[in-house]
Amino acid sequence: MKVDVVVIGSGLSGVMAALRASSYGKKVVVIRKGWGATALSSGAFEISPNPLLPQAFELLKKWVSLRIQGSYEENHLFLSQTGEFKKAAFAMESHFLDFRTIGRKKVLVLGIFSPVIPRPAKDLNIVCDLVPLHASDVNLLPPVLAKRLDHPEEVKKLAQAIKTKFNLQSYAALFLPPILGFEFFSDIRRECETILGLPVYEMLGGSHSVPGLRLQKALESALRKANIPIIQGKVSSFSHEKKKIMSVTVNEEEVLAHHFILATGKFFSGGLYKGVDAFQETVFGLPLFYENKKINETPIRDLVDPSFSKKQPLFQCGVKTNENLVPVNEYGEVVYENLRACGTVLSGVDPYRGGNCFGVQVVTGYRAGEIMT
Amino acid sequence: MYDVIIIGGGVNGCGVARDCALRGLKTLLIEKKDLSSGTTGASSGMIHGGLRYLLHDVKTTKTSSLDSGYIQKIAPFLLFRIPFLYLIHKKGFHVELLETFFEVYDRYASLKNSKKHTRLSQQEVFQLEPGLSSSIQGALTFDEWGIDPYRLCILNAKDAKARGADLLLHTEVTDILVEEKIVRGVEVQTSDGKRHHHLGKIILNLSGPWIPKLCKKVGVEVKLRPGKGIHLVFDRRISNVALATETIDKRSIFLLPYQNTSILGTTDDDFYGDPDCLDVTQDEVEYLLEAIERVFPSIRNERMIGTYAGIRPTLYEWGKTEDSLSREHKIFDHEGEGIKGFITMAGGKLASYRLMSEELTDLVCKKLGIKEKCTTHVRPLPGGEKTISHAEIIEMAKEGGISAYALSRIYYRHGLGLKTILEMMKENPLWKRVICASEPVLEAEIRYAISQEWAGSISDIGRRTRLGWGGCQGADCVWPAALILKDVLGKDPHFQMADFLQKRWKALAPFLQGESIAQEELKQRLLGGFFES
Repeated sequence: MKVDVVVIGSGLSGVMAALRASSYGKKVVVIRKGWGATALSSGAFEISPNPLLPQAFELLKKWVSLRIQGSYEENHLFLSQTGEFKKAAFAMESHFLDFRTIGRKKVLVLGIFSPVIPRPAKDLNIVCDLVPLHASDVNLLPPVLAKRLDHPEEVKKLAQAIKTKFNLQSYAALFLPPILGFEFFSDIRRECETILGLPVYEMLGGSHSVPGLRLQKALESALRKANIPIIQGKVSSFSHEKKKIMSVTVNEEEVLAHHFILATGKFFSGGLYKGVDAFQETVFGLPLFYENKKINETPIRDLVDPSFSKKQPLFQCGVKTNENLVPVNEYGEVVYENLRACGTVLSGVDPYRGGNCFGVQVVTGYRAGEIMT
Repeated sequence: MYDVIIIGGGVNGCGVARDCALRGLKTLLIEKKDLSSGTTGASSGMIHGGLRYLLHDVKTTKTSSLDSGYIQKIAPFLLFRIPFLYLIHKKGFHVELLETFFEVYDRYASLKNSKKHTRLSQQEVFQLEPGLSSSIQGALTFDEWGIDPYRLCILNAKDAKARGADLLLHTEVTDILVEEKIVRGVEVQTSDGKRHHHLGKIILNLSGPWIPKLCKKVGVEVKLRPGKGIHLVFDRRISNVALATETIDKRSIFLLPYQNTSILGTTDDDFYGDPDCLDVTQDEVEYLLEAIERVFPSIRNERMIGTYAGIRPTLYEWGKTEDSLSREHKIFDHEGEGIKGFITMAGGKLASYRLMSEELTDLVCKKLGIKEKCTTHVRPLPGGEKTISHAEIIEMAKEGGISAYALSRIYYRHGLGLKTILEMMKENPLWKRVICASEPVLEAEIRYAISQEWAGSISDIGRRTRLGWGGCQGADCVWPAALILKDVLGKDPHFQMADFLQKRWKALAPFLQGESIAQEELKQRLLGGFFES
């Protein structure tokens, strides 16, 4: 197979890069070994206020058929199922309630089998309880519940049960766990609101995150719309001539291309690995860095903070690039001139702390996909 | 006024408390942390005869084997047979010599209901365990009994309580009250910082590694030769059977399929530090991995999920290597040193806890002039009154609407006590919820552990149910478990969760590798948000 651009990874930054490259008329293929961290994401899109490339986000909104709400200028608060208010610029529409408009009015928050304990909830008047589910549902995971609610009669049943259990007139809004359907979740939420007679919102995804799966699926349907094929498989090897990558091999097939984009994520997604001896970037064996220091040979104990609650250097490790997102070695020299890296595989990007990971993924994906030659 | 005050909630403390209570003594057990949170919990979890003790310590092998038979009778649900392969590595090795050694061990097999050894060819060994190194020439088989040491403590303590004993957990003995060379009682400090006095006629120092420290408080001396041992825990049963092999310095170690995990152990090194500050080191981890890698090469690709360390309170001897130290126990009656009513017991093994308890209780009874005989070898532990067959468990699970596997695990931990837990689920069907999927642990068992077994933290729940001890290391279950603790005891769930995660992180972070890192990354994704400022 011969294409213009090979993107490795089908998470947020990989899809962004693929769509961007495709918009220049390039023939693009995405290779991925499976779903990674994007499919587990919470539904909140964390970006720093006033980001560098707002047009990147605008394009994403256009390409990906998810209704997204928020603003570039400031962060909003989104309620997670464990009760924290997470700060983020955007989220999928169903999570977005501007709490400032609520005032002292009561908000009802319903957990699945475990109560939600919001913190801090200083100025908010929150009442917590449980979704009235049947005891036989007690071991169903959120995606299963969401799939079930794709059927209109199930939505009616749930809404009726909520209506019977709670006196909704005294509440300004209702928060449910993110289980309101997969395929038709916007419609389902509307239907709930109609039956219940108050605005309905979803909390962010936790483990087995439904919003994460919605995002992953939306990204893939954007690829389909742009006629970008996804090859399911693991890159087993690559060939290069001096500083130029010629091809990668996947499922025993050689894929030749002019440009390669690495969007493989960190450890969980499979982009980074620490074996018996050393840290590795798993596809091209690139040098890895933590704060400009090469760490391929660094012992693990120097990359973990003894306190679990602290930011972990380990999860900020990654590939270092020049200003064109081309990976470099410890001397600042380009490793392969036709390779770019984007997303969380980059060093300095901490997907879990820091609050702008989503923004970095979108912006670097957008920039990595800017291939005009 | 208590007849006897026991200091230390390990297996000896719990065993003695049970024996004393069964003989009608007014008994108080005091533990500074949780039951089985010290040496007992850090053991290999085996009631074994001790093949390696045969070389230095025949008496220990015999008493352990004999008592293993008793423990099987009083808690049949709590034991599981562990078939072992003693691997023969070198070509031209004199198997006959080793076999002679095993023939001696066979003499003790019937005492502990074990099977006699057999000799396996290379081909037979690979059929059993395909993951072994091709350099393995053959193996000898034997078997031992696994036990959950935490459950063993809890069940002894529960029986003691049922017979009128009092228990004070998370309560530290700060002083021992002595008047005119006779002990009168103890001063304790509870977790809220308050101090109280408890009076008693006899005080038993069963505090394991802390024995010397307590002895100092009354001006007597018991010298120990403490030995540190560590274990590594893997996320699943890596091998089909247990593998015994030798380390670089010719020590026996093993890789053990243990409940839903595998454990690799152990080291034995003199320990001079503070038993309250115990860390596993890189050096110890590598020592074990290197030894097992030689016979089981894929070990480095397996997912290590934790480490733990403990201190053996071995009896003092000068001039011996750690391994050749006797595992025998000894009772020190300090009356000879002029302090009447203060007795220490040190040394011993998990397998001989009941016998040691009996011996010590005999002495206590003699001093108090009580004639009651020991019944701990015939009277079942709570839940061991009757066995339930696997077919019955499947039937009960069906009726209760839960998975048969989950119920079989509850049966393993509770024996007949599973009926109480099933009853709880019948009354509250929502408590059928699986909180920890790796074990699995259902909500009802967690509530039972909190209300009936003194669990007050997520770590306590873990010791009782193995919650958060499997592959996910709490990623999914720690928050719902914290919320149950809040519901029952009103504890701050954020503090509870952070405390548990920190303990787990400390025991694993310095040794993270391979898939363990991916799992920790997932945990950060799920729980990191709690700690964001």
